[in-house]
Amino acid sequence: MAIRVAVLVVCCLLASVGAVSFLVAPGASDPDPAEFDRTVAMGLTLEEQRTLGERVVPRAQIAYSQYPYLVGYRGIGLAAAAVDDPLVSQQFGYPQVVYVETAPPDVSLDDSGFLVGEYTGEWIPAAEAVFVIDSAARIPSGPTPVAFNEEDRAAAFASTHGGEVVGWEERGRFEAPPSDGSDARDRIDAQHAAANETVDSAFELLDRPTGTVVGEDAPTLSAALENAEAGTVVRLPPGTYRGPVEIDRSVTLSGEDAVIVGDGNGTVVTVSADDVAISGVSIAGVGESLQPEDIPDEDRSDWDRQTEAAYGYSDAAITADGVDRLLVTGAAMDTPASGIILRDTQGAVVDGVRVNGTDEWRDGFMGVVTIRSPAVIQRSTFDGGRDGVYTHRSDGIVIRNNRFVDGRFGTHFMYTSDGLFSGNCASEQALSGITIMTSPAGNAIADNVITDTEQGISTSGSDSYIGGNVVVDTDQAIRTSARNSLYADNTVVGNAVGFRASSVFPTSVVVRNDVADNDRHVRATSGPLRVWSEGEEGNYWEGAEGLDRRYSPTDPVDGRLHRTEAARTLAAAPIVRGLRTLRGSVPGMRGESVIDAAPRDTPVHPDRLETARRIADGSADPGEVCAA
Amino acid sequence: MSRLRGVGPIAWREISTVVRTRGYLLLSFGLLVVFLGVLRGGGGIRGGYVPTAVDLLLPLELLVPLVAVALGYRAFSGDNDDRSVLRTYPVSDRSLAVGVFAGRFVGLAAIVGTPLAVVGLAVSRIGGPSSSVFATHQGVDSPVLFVRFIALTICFGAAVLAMTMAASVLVRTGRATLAAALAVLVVVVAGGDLLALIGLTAGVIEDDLLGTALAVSPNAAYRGLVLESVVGVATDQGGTIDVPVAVAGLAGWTAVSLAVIAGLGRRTVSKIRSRFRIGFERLKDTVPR
Repeated sequence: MAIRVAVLVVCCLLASVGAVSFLVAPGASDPDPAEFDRTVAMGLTLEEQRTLGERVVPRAQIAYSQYPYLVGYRGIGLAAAAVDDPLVSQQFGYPQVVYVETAPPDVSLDDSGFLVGEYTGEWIPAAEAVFVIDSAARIPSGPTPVAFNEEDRAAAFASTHGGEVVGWEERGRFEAPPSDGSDARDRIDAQHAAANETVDSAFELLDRPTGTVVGEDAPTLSAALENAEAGTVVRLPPGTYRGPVEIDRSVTLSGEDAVIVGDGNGTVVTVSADDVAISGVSIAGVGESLQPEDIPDEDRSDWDRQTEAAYGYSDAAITADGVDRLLVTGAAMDTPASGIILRDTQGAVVDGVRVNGTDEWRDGFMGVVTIRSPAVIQRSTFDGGRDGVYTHRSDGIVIRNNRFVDGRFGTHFMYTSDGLFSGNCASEQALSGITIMTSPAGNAIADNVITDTEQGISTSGSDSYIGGNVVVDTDQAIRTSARNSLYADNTVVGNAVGFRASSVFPTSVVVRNDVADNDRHVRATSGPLRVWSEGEEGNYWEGAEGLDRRYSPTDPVDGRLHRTEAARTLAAAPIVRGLRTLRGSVPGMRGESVIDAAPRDTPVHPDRLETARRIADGSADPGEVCAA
Repeated sequence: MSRLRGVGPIAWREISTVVRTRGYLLLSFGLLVVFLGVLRGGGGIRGGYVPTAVDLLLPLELLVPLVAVALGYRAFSGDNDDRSVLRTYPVSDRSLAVGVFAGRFVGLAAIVGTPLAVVGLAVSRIGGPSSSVFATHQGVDSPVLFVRFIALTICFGAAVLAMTMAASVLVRTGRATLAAALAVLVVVVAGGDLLALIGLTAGVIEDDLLGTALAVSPNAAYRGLVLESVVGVATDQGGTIDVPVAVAGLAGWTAVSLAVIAGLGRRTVSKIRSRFRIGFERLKDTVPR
């Protein structure tokens, strides 16, 4: 009898537990705020963070219902935009709680409008905070709202620095930086046009009267340069000339089959004057030093002094420092170190240059190094050496229609935002076609052809556009690490891995790409499930044609549809279908996968896909494709 | 109270039958294996309770009716048809129906609930976020949601069990009970959704009525309630089903089936059955050979 009673009691107990589960709220309490350093943080490039120094940025953190990490935002406007972003809620659920950090008690603004003070670490729910918008307060990416815990303090701030005091519910009016890659995409044409102007302006330097002919008017190149008048051409007839030389006045050095040979130590041609052009010369005899023993201790020392020292002072064929308007065109250089180094040079154009570096990338250095020099680098060939172009804090740099062969990285962006990398062709790179590091913002990587490298395009940062690229025959074609970015219209063919999904907080749009003939179309690592489609717009995945349902390239069954027909049989199994159907319903709580809710039946760019396939099977030469 | 005399002993007898039958233990273990396999394939278990529920929802829609049919189809026939013996005791039809149902229901709850509870434990051990770098929180994932999921699953099982038992009362012979139970299975698994689909296609069901119409079908009610009260909490999306109607629907199917088992005495049943037979004979005659 006792056992019957026990069973009855247990049954009643379980039944009441079941009933009670519908009465209690599942989420007992909202998560507490965390230290900002422990959040998945976004907003501001690494360069912007480094340059902040003693100044502070109004910050926020959000706990999303389906995402296990607290997300930190540098910039309250960014957080406000995320709260109302349908893409974010589709991916991570709704914001359970939003915290903002209150401004320092004695906050003031410096000349640039940055907030001066110390982080308070006092986090309050956004709904309880008051905000001052449209004031003079700024963060590096633009104007910012400032949060206060008391209305009085907000009003006091507004009376000193302007602006209006509002509540969280008016967040639609908060100043926010752009939060997707479409700005970078839409900027491309204008950026090309601006680059054309820079190029035209630099080419004017070739229209100068001939002042000196070396060998006729002066015995040596050095002598000619010492005596040349500004605004004239120093002509080099065919022959070999001894370097090193320094160009310290505004002249155009123009040669034809002329070779300037250094003594194998140091840089061959040093430019220290504005408005210099170097045209049609070859340069050899460059020194082998990659880092000088002592760097001139200049007064522009900054947080990046060490980086600059490490990359900006190697021996080179041509070095320019602190000049305006420089043209290097039709030049060829053999170098065991760097080709051209630009430091603090504005309006520089490198056009139609050929840099032959070392056979082994570890032995050599960069084709072009730009230190705070937003140059235009075009129609050039970089063969061998380490990186074709290495940029450092060169916001707005334009690198177009170049060829990169047999180096480490075709191009290497460091601390460089708003750059344009377009129409380039990179092949046989040891590590990658283009690598972007240090979390910059707003870069556009468009219409490039990248083949036969370990990685094709490796991104970081945010607000970037990666579009129209053809990436063939790599170990890993495109890495989608840049957040809030647009990856569209790329053709990804014949790679071991097509896309690598790696960002921990994926907020990018990935659509209209053609993905075919890869061993794996997508490899997903850390981070939640990503939805790679926007409304009805998805991607073309070889193997997913005619599926008429959501497709997951990372799924063990779907991911094999393009490799074996038998995968179709398994994909139609009730259990597999059952699992698949609802998978996207809580994406933020699932790990390491990608789904496309609207896979395409036909390629977006069939011609380009065909070309890419021909490159992959060897029947087309990437060089010719690039030239076309 | 006297009307329900004997319910306890009858239920206990059914429970004992279930406990004694090794096959049911195996069935429960089989379910656990299937659940874990599905979760391994779907990856929900690492995500937490809600993704686990999402992964298990569709398999359960198929498997729970199957278990219910296995438990219910011979409740009143075959080896277990000893009602004639029971009738010699002072036990009413109603007590008999309620007792057998209660006993088998406890069996069903154990067979389905135990592996689900094991899965829940597994989620609590290995599911959810962990990171040494980032601050984590649970989102709105919670074991409470999984308990709701288990409770809804068992309620769904109860409805199908009652329906199966009712079908097995309506047809008495051994072979026919299996057919009738399988018919219940087909109706539960596909029938309601199919009707709703046809209704939609024909334009009979309006958009705003769909949630209500679906709630009438047991499996759609179950699915809708899970989407509403378990998954919907995490996605903040509601309105997947008309909740009161869905609850009433599941309860209604159970109650009506129990009424059929209890209320239809032997005479009524045989009357209905003979009418069917006559009708069928007539139909056969009218069909030209």
